[in-house]
Amino acid sequence: MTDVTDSSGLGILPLRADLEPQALIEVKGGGLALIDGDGDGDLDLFLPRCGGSTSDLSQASGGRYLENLGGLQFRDATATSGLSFSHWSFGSAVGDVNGDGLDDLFVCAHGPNMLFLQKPEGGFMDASDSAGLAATSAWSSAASFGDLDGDGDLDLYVANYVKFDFDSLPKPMLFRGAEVFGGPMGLVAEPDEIYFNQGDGTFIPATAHFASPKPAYGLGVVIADFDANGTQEVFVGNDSGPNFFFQRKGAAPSQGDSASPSQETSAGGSTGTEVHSADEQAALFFTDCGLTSGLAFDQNGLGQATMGITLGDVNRDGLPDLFTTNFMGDRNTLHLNLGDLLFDDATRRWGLGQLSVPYLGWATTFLDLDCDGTEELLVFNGHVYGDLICREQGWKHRQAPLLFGQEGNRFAQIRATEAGQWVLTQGVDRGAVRGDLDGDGDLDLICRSLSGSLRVLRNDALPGRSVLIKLSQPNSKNPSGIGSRIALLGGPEPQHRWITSSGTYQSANAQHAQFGTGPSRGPFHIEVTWPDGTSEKFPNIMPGMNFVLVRGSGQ
Amino acid sequence: MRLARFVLLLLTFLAGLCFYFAQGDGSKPAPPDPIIALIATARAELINHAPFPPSSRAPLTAARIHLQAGRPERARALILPELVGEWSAEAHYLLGILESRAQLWQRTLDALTLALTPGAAYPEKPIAPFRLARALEETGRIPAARLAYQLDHDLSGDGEALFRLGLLDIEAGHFPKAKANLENALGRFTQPQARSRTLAALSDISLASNDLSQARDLLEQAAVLHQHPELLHRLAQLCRRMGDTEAAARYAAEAGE
Repeated sequence: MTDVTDSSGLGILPLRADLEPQALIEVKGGGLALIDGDGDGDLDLFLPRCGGSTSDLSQASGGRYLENLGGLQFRDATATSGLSFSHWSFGSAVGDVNGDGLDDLFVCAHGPNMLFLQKPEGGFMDASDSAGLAATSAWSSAASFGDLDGDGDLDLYVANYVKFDFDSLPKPMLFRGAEVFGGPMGLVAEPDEIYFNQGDGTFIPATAHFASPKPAYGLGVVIADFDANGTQEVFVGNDSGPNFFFQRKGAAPSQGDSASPSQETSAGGSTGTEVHSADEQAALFFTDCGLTSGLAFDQNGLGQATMGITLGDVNRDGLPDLFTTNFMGDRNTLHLNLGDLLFDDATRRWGLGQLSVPYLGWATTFLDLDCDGTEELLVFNGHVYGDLICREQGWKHRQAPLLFGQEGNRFAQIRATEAGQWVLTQGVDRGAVRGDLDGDGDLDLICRSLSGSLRVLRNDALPGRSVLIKLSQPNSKNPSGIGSRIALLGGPEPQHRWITSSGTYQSANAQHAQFGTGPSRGPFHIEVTWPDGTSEKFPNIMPGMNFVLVRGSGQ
Repeated sequence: MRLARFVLLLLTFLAGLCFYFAQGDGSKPAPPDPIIALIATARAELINHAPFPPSSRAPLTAARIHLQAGRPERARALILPELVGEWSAEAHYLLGILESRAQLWQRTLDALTLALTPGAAYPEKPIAPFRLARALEETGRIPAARLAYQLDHDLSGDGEALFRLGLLDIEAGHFPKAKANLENALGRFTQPQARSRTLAALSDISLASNDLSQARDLLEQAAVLHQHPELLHRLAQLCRRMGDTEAAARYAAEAGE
């Protein structure tokens, strides 16, 4: 990887000064989103702003939209993008909510959240009110789209954090002897929000269909089919408490309706949507199996901070394993997916524990940087407390990322001698996104700091050693196949990727899957498991090429 | 005399490097940690050294009493003026204790590095390597932590360093070595709590080889010795994994889930 920030046009001034934070809200954001916002086929960048007036949380300068000009060059196109808003904003999720073939953008804010629909001519229009998503005023951290109710369109889960107001700041607290700003402990948690898409990009509240445990400090959410049964589960990372893991169980007991939603799926080649009656829709019920699954806590039953979330298949069994990042003094956590919605905290055995203890982790992602067929694991770090306090206490305010390579059933740190100098760059990092930004088939990265400054990392892997896959479901309400699993088969070992609308930390990665193929000439074949659980095979996948796999065109 | 001291330091530094490279932690090569030379020097000084005499510095003796009585600020007030001068290494050791209790590991490390100044004499010097190792581990300097634990074990024969080495061995994927260290530690521990956490760590090794029955047996032995919610949670999880829902529910209830 090479740091090309200076030449990218993204070496812009930070969105706010890197001051000593005085309040919790100043340290929790934010993310990034990759979205093709102008229909030119490349990935543009959205940068939420989580800073601004501390006297009025509705006053900030909004986000920035940075147009990809090709060759890893960007320009600020905020003014003409239609992404106009003023609230402090944190996370974002990308998905085509109205099935028009154009990705839309959901932005989590302190105050009303925002949905921006992409216009056919490029740019966005604010549809928050008409879509039914602007009704609440909670502090939302992160969101994820996924087909929760199995009707084929993209529903929405919004993870909310705490009730926060600059006019009534919590009292400072002591952390390891240092007086620091208060929270989240002691603050009132905001309940999460869930919305079902009505098929046209308008939403109705669906929180009542979730057997909601006690509200918690939500920081991250990812939706995927964790048990490969054709329904989507929801993992919610909660700060300083048990995480949620929602599983679709069928009829809600409180409804007195024993009918389960249809599990039928249509034959391959169609868009595979289920149609529920109004009664069925009302009966859908998700229950939290965080505790029994092993995802609520770490191995020892302790709640963690759970900032960053990423999915990968570290043991090559086709099920998504889950890695989360945590606070300084705690370990990051690898939850191995054992199947049947059971997970095993295998952090120590996989060599990922002790090295992470001095770091405060945020964005994390699995990605095959060197295109050898095995994903590396990357964690961006940075403290929440200001530089002055950190110096006094012997903590590092600015922290370098951690990069791990997989060797059998464990990970080992990859150092600068092998990875390059970029792993030595210390920052107060938060969100990050991965995607092929320069069209060469490998995955590049953009990381943002707390202040909003960006770091652009170009992947210089050998050409011709990867396959890039995009999915297409024509005439579907989920055209890019969010919630699908993609397997590359025919190599030494199977590789699996999951298409999600959110990840790393409060961010939205590119919705394509990259597979390293090493020096092999192929051919490989791809097996796509669509969000409804049906599978389709696509042969003759050659390295060094990009593919758009259209549902119904495979075998 | 100076030349001899220089040669001694050089030799210990080289010995430290050799020891470091022989240890390995499973991670890819890293530049040597400068503190490794300090540990090598401490090894040369402390191995086979006669017990150090009691402290003769009254303020530091008083600071120890405050530390034991849980009065850290009064201890600190007595320690700080002593950080320069003849008793500075001893004062830095006590400061390191203070900082480690607050989990300020970098400050612990800074203090204990100075506490191991060659030639300084105070009664706790032989146990300073263990405390240094903890700080090194918590600040992510794992190869140096391993060396310091190994030194502590060679000095004290105590099980605690073996236990910590066993955990690091698990992290490094050296499961046979981890098992040997943990079983060795288990043989030395007499306190139920220490034996319990060692058995729990051994169960992690069983999980690595997917021996769920053995892992459960070890955890159940651990729970008999010290019934702690963390252990019960792990047992509940393991029983769910094994399909023993009845036992899982029982352990979960006992864990307060």
